[in-house]
Amino acid sequence: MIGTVKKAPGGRSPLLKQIKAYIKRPKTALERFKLLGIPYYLILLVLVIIPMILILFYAITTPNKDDAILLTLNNFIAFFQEEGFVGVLWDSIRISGITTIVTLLIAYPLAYIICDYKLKKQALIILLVSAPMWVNMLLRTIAWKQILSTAGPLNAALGWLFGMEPINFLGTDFAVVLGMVYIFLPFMVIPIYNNLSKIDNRLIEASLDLGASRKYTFFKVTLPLSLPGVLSGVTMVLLPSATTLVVPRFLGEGRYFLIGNLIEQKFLKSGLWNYGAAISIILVVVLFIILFLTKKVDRFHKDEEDD
Amino acid sequence: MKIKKTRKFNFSVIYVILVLIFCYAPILSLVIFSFNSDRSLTNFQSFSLIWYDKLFNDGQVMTAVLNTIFVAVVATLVSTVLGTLAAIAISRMKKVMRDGLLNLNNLPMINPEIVTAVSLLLLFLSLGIGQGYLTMILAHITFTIPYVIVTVYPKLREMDENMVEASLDLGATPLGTIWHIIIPNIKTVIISAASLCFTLSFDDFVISYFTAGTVNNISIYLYTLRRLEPTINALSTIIITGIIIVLVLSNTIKHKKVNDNEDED
Amino acid sequence: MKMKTNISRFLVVGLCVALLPLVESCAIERMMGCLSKETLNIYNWGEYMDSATITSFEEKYNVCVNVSTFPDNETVVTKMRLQSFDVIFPSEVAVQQLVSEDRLEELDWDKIIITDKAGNERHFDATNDLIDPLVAQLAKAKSETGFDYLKYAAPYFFQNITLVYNTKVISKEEIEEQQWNILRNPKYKGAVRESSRDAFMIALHQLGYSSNTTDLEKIGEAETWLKEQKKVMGSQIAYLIDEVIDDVPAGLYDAAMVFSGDAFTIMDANEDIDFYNPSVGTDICWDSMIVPKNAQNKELAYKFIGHMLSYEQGLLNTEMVGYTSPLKDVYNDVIASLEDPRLIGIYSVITSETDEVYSFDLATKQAIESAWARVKASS
Repeated sequence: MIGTVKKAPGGRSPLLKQIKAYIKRPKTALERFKLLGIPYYLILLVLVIIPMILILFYAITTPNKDDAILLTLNNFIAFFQEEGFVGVLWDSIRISGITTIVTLLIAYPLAYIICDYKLKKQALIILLVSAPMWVNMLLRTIAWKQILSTAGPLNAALGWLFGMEPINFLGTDFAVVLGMVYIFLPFMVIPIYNNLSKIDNRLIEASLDLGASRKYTFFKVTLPLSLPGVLSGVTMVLLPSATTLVVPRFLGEGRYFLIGNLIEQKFLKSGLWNYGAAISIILVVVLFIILFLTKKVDRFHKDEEDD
Repeated sequence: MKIKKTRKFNFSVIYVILVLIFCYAPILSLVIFSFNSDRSLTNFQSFSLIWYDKLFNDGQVMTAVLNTIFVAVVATLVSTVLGTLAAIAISRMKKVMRDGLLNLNNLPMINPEIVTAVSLLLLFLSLGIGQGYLTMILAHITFTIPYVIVTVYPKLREMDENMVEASLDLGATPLGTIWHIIIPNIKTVIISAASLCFTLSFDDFVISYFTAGTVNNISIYLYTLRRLEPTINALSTIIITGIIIVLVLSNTIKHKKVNDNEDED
Repeated sequence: MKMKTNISRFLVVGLCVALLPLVESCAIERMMGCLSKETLNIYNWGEYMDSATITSFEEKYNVCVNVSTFPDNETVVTKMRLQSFDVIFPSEVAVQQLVSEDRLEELDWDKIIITDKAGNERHFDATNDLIDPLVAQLAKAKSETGFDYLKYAAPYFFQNITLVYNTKVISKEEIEEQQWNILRNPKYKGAVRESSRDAFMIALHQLGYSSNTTDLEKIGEAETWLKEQKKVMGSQIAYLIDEVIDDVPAGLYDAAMVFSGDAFTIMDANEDIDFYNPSVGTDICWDSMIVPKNAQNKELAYKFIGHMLSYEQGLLNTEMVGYTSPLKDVYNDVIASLEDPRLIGIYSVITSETDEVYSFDLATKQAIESAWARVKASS
């Protein structure tokens, strides 16, 4: 609709008029629908894309004494060179990996078992499992701290049952993983359950009718069909648990310094934003690589629309 | 998917119960100590309601609670509306743009919270926007809106295209079609998305911590508390009570519509 | 991640029902009332004031006070740039930093009116109204570095960092012999403050250096000291902030480095705990009230400072928080009211020659922060 611009004495007006006409023209229904998304596109642009670009910008620059900006990769190099920092990243991934596996091992059987129940009971149990999410995460973590401490009920129970001396559970892998599993359990249960509950019953029946054992049916039919749900759950647990601040802080007795804590320190305590930004980029890249690899595992990956 | 009950029936029940005990042990501890007459969270002295009193009368705690609710409500409303509209818009697009936008949409969800938080902090600082309610609400919208789209979009796809076309053919405006046709159809999912938004915003810590400036929400208040005390336990107990009410209601009210498929999400 | 729809509907209803009592609460009434009054924005440590002092101020001047809290000094420095407060309570080292960044208003002491013990309303007289140890420190700072704290800051609490220990587990001789090294003794469960500056302070002092050294080599040695601590102690060391206040009396730690005000609360809660100020030296510090340049209500800020420096308020605050008040009258009265020699000792904040006050130096601060990150990351 925009034709050639004539250079008239009025300058820009023909172009402006044409743009205005373009905006005001009667639109097809399709176009109208697409316009609805404009606020969202704005949000995406301003609050998601631009900030990410900002982080990238901070990561590759460094403040100079004269306030000049230098392009540099030093921030990234510094991370890999600084003693122990790669170890922090590795620790975070390790803990998050253990958390994800444990959560999966607890969530999958639960989802599987309740698929057997009446629909109403299924809904009830899912609600019960997800209800704790409404209680503040810090509060739940602090509650675990009280339970696991040497003066707490767990040690009291162990002492009473087995006559054991109080063990300090806090500040151990056990406590940190436990805390994280507790927080992320609903995130794993719900996608797996959604997936399992939608698996067509007839496929199971067919497999059994054809003579396969229950075990075989599970491994060859149910499990593969449930992989999208598992993948969804894993994604929702793996990434957040690697970067969480709260659980290491309260359950780790300050000894657990994970990547989230490191970034927090660089931004809020040291004021080294460039460094912090670089570490954030490294973190995102590593996590995306891991995510990409886990997606490869899912051979029956359906379109995301069927989520 | 249904599997026939096997002889392992008893073990499964025990397993479910164990998991539920695991889920509720700390909650139980929280509730019990909300009634403690002492501030300790490990030694129960005697029954008392002082923390409930403090919850409602201490300016700082109540401000934190109200801030949390306020931000959650505003963010939920904005996210749900804009997200639903966006999902509708996306569903009309061609595959390339659609997939592109959906992938982009996933970014805040997959991005570690701390990276989102930090990126928003940098944005607000660069723009010189003072951190307060506005920045916190914007931040909450940013991280909740993708969930709205992810929740609403699949249901939109499932919906019968013909109804929309019919409506348009019959002369309804696109907005009218949305209001009268599309929305009633996906109403359940929209409410799902809204309550999801609310939960995420209500409970958020990391993103709020970096973008809230001095507005305290419940999580920030807890994180900066020098010594723990059962005041927020009292709040949590109230919320849990609300949830129990929900449980009782949902189990006693019978579902009227046969079509009201409970498997719907 | 989806929830059941009908149930989620009920969830929202249930929540609304459960939160209905909020509507009745006094706090809401207060907030409504505040819309029409002048507001004062305070930024303080968490639980660092008696709420009665706030209420009495609100009633006296018919204003509203908004209190926000911060967990550490770095947060103050970062966030005060973006948010306008009227009165902030930073530590002395943060005051130095803020002054160097030209963020603080010079206090107009003429506008600060206090009500002293006798009930007289008058101006504040630093030399006579403040306790001697603090007056000495302020004079020392002025003569050594030319920095005049009182120009910008009104003292609020005075403290040092001390070592509390469980007398049933550790003997006095052991503590006196090992000093800060008791926290590197795997026999005892110890707690170190999760703060780069404080951790480096004990390392530097134990190594015999000044905690204000700018010598990177010495800082490096301190870094090694701290890394060894983490390695040797393993699970016997914890890095905590204020959890110590509840955890030490509960017996979870045998020794801990804490602020003297917290030590007061700890010892008050458990009579087996005693304190020791290591002779190799520790840190002396104080928190003060400052008015930032971007404050919106400076007149009211001065009234507030005067209010907090008054006898009655000073007494309320120190009694609630447990930290030592720098106001002479309050200080003397509190000590007179205490019977337990441990509590008297800690409240008095006895200082020695080897104790130092932190001095602010940006380069050193960043070096220490970076080193601390390495310590935390080490294993």
